[in-house]
Amino acid sequence: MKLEIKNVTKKFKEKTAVNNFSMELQSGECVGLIGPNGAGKSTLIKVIADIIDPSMGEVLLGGKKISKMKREIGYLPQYPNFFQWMTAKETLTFMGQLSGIKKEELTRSIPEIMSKVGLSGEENSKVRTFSGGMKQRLGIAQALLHKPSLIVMDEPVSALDPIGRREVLNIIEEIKKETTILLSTHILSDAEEICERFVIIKNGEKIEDTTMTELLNRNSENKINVDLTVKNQEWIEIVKSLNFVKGVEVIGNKLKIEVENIELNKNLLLASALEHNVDLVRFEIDNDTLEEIFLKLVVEK
Amino acid sequence: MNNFTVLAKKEFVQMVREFKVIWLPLVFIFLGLTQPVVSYYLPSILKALGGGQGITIDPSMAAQKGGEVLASTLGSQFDQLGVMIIIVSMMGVVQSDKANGMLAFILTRPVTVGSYISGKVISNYLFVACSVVLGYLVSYLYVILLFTRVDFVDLLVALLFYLMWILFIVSFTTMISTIFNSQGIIALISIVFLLGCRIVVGLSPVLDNVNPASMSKHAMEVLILGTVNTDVIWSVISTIVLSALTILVTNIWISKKKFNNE
Amino acid sequence: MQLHYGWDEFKNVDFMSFLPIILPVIAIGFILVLIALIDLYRHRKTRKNILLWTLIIIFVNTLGPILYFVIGRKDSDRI
Ligand SMILES: Nc1ncnc2c1ncn2[C@@H]1O[C@H](COP(=O)(O)OP(=O)(O)O)[C@@H](O)[C@H]1O
Ligand SMILES: [Mg+2]
Repeated sequence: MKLEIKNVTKKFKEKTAVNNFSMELQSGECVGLIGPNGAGKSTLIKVIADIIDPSMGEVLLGGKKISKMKREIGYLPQYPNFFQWMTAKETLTFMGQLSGIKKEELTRSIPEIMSKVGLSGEENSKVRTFSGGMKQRLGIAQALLHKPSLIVMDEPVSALDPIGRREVLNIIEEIKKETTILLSTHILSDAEEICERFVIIKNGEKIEDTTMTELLNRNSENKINVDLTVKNQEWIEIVKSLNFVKGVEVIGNKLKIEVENIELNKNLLLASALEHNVDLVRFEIDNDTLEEIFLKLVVEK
Repeated sequence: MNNFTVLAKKEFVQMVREFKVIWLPLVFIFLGLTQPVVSYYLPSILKALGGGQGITIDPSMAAQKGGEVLASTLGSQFDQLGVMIIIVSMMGVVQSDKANGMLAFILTRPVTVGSYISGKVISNYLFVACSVVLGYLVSYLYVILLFTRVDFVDLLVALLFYLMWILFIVSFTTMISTIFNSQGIIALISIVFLLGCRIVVGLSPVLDNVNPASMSKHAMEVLILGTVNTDVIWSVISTIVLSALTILVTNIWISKKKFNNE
Repeated sequence: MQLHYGWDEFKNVDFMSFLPIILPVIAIGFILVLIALIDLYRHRKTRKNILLWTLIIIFVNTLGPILYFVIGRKDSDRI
């Protein structure tokens, strides 16, 4: 089902947490919502989950108001919290019944979902005794239980240690195949790992909506980095004389070579290096890392 | 099962897990016992203690009628300590769901605000009412054991009246618990307001007609006099209307998602 | 001594007729204390001020256990 966010604005008294935000999510897509702390991610996600009403604008799922489509949404809060006195199984039964699932169906699907999120054997443990990572997984289980067509997750891995983070990322990777996912994070590498498309939000405004490859290409500057074991002045002169090379920068035994067209020229350059028996250590297209691009976008705009 | 039953069932399970299901009835049984026992032994204790000094014992105190003792169980025990304990046991009824995010979380599911509130109010009312009934019945048993019999119809009518006052206490506390965020403030406001309502009973007949606490006075009158004051109809109507109003306010408050906009 | 005199007189009250009536009152107070203590013990890891609560439950008559159930139990549920 298609999710449409139309000109959503949310004001808290003076503070505008989300400002005229629009975005569309096609069925089956996986989108990362990225922004620094305080950017308005949680606020936007709460609007989508129908926890708070937007000051302006609306959110539609499959063309209908989100408040009428709650059954189709699975929501994982930033800090999932459940009744401390319930067991994991009771929690899932409770949330499942509220979503309108029959008891018989739940007795079948709960063990299934518990093993999917790696909580098998914890069915009868009290939520009180759960660690942060276990609560996160219980939260994911709860969001998946009623087989929603859209899953919204607020910082699903930010609060976890590296091992928990790895496990949860794997779970998300798994469920990505079946549903539309919108997840927020302030850590780019998390989004990079799961989602192809991402939307960058800052001060409540959308500043970028793009795919990873597009972003990488846009920021490359037709330069190739070549590292050598020893400085080879002879080959540097040859490179300089090549007709497609526009300039060579030498720093120690690292070369930064600017060419006319990366796609066409990179192999010619490599061929030349091999032909002259140059001792290569590294040969790569000079890209900003995503981290650098992200910083640039967030700081500049 | 629809959402209302799921939510109400959750409330009951929670009461069991938190032992509330044991201690609240016990507290009311205790309160119910106290009045007859104290009334019965007070004269002989006073006599024993003051016997040598010739303190005269008020004869009316020594020979109270059963109905009067049962009435003061309602008026002196339930309406003071009892009401406070009901309030304190219910101050977190919605507030704790707000504080830990469960209210917002529950409402992300296809649950109407109405079924959430009715799940809360009805389950808590049933439970508190059962506790009150238990305490009242124990008090009744002691009264007929130690004093005179109480007419059975009077007993039931008075109970019914009193349970209406309890309904208002429960729905009012639920509303305050929805609006405010600190348990201390919730308890304070509810106790001051509800005990205040109880104290002003009897000051003015007009005020009594719109005061749910006057249901308690009517209950006591039935027990003491054995007759029903016809004014009770106004109190019944205003208690129902006011209880409905508090529930409506609670509903609007949650529907407008005020709890998220602090 | 006045007090002594009073207490002596008090003893003359027939205790056997007293007991069946007073017993339930004592029993209920006792059950409340017992349940509160059991609950406190079961959740000793997550509760604060265990010692304080134990004293309150045992020594504050009837109200002690109630205070514990209403306020003392909440400590751990806040998280
Ligand atoms: N209930 C609220 N009342 C007032 N301001 C809020 C509230 N919730 C969030 N904000 C403000 O809105 C901004 C966005 O917050 P949030 O959506 O939580 O950011 P993020 O999740 O991206 O870190 C922040 O500046 C925050 O202070
Ligand atoms: Mg956030």
